[in-house]
Amino acid sequence: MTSIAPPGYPPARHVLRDLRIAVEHRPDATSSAWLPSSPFLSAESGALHAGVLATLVDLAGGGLAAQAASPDWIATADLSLHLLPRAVAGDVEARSRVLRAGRTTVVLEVELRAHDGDPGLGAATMSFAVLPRRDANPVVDQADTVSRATMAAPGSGFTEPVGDRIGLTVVDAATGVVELPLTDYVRNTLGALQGGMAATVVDAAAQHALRAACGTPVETADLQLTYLALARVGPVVTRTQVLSAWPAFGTAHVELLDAGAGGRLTTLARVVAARPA
Amino acid sequence: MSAFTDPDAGRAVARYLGVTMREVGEPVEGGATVRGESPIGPHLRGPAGTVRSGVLVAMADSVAGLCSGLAVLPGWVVSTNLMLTAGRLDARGPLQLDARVLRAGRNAVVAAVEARDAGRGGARVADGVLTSTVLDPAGGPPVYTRPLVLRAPQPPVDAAPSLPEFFGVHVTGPTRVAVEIAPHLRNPWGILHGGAIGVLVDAAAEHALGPPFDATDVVCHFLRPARIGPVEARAEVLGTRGDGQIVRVAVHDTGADDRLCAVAIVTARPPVDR
Repeated sequence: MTSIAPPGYPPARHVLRDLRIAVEHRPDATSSAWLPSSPFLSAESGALHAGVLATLVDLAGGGLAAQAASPDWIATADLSLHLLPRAVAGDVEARSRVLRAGRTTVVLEVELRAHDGDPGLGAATMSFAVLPRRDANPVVDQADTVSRATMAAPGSGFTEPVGDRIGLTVVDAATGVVELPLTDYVRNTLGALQGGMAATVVDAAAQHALRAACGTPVETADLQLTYLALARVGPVVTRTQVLSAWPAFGTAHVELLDAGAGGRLTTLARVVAARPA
Repeated sequence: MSAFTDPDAGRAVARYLGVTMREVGEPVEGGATVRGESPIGPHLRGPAGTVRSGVLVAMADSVAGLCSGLAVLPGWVVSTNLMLTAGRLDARGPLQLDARVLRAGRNAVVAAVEARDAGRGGARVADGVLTSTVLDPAGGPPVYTRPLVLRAPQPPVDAAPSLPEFFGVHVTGPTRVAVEIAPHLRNPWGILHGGAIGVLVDAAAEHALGPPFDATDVVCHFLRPARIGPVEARAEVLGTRGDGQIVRVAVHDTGADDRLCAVAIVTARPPVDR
C-alpha cells in the first residue's frame, strides 16, 4: 500500500499527481512532504479532509520507512491520524521521523504543520512490516544528500472535489455505505488501492454515518487504520457501525471490503468525527 | 529459567483487573478466540465512576495478547501496537471483552478486540486492534490445557488497592508520572507489562490536562522493552479541538539510558451528558 515511486509511477493521470505533493528525504532519517491546500480537498469548515491528510502521511512515511528497511521491502501495517482541524492557507507539511527500525517492523511518527503562523495541525503514527526483498521491488537509495521530488505534473491539480474526482459514490449516507471503483487513478505500485485512498473512503463513510447519528455537521478528526489485505479487484465498499454519537462528536467502526474479491476484508478502521471548533 | 515454564507467571496484572479469560471453541492452527470478563470493581474507575481508559487498554492488551499467543503456539507474542477507541466509559459491568485473530503470520499477529457492557444489554464500550510480534520463548511456550481457562479470583472490594497503588504510579513533574518495575508488573518475558504502560500513559495524560478530561482513545506503539526502570511517561499537549484535547505521551526507561520504550497519542474529552 505504500508508494515508493518506481519508474513510470504514478502514471500521468493519478490522484498523487493531482494532489501535487512534494517529498524531501534527508540523511538524518527524517523526511517531509508538502501538500498545497485547496477548497477541493476540504470539508465545509475549510479544514482539509482527514483522508487527504492520511494520503500525505502515507506518502511521506512510506518513503522514509522504505529507506529504513532497505534493502528489504515494507508493507504498511497501520496508520493513525489525530487532527486539530482548522482551515489552512498554503502548504501543509508532514514531517516524519523513525521511532524504531527493527528486523520485522519499522515505526514512524509524523507531525502535521501549517505555514500560516499557527503550526500545529495534528500528529500521525505508522507501522510497517518488513518483508524479504523481491526482484520486483523498487531499489531505494539511501539519502546521502537532501533529495526533493514532486508528484505534480504540468496541468495537474483538482478542478472538482476529491471525492467526485476519484469516483466515490455514496450508496447510503445514514448507514455509512460508500463505494469506490478501483481504477488506475487510485492504484498503488502493486496495482491495489493506494493506502491513502483507503483512508479517504473510510473517512467519507464514517463522516456520513456520524453526521446522521450525531445530528450535527461533524467532520473526521481521528483515523485508526489497520491494513489487513490488498484491495486488488474492486469496487471497494464500506460497512460502518456507529459506536457512539453525541452532538459534539461520534465514533464509528468501519470495514473496507473488496466487493470484487468475494467481499474480502481489506482494512479495519475506527473513526472519530467532531464538530468543528 | 524462562517464566513461560510457569503458565501463571506474569498474570498479576490480569488478576488485579479481575479478568477471567476463556478460549472459545476448539483450538485451530493460526486462529483463536478468547473472551474476557471483569466485574470492573470501583478500584478500576475514576472519580466520576467511569472506567479508566488505562484499565481498558490493560484489559484489551491482556485478552487480545492471550488470543494472539494461542494462535501462534509454540511461539508466543509481545505487543507492538494497540489502537483503542472508547464509545462510553460509564459501564455498569460486568465488562465482556471478545478478541479474535484477524491475521496470523510468521512474524506478526493482528487481533481485534471489542469490549461490551453486559450491564447495559451488551452496549459497546470500546473497540480496538492489537498487533503483536511473534517470538520464540527461550524456555519453550507456556504449557496450557486447551481450551484454556484462566480465572481471576475476585478480591474483596475493600481489599483491592487503588490503581495508582497497585501500579505504583507517582508524579515526577508537571506533565510526568512514573512507575518502578515491580515484580508483579512484569509479563512472562520479564519486561514491564503492556497493560502497565497503558495505565501509565493514561495517568500522564490525565495529570498533564487536569480534570475534567478523560483519556478515551489511545494509540500506543510499544517500541522497546522496559526492563530496568523507573519508567517515566512524559506528556505533551498538542492542542485543543471541538471534542477535547490531543496529547502525545512518550514512555522512557530512565534506568536504561532513558531509552524510548513507547509512544502514544491520546484523545481526551470532558465527560459528556450520558
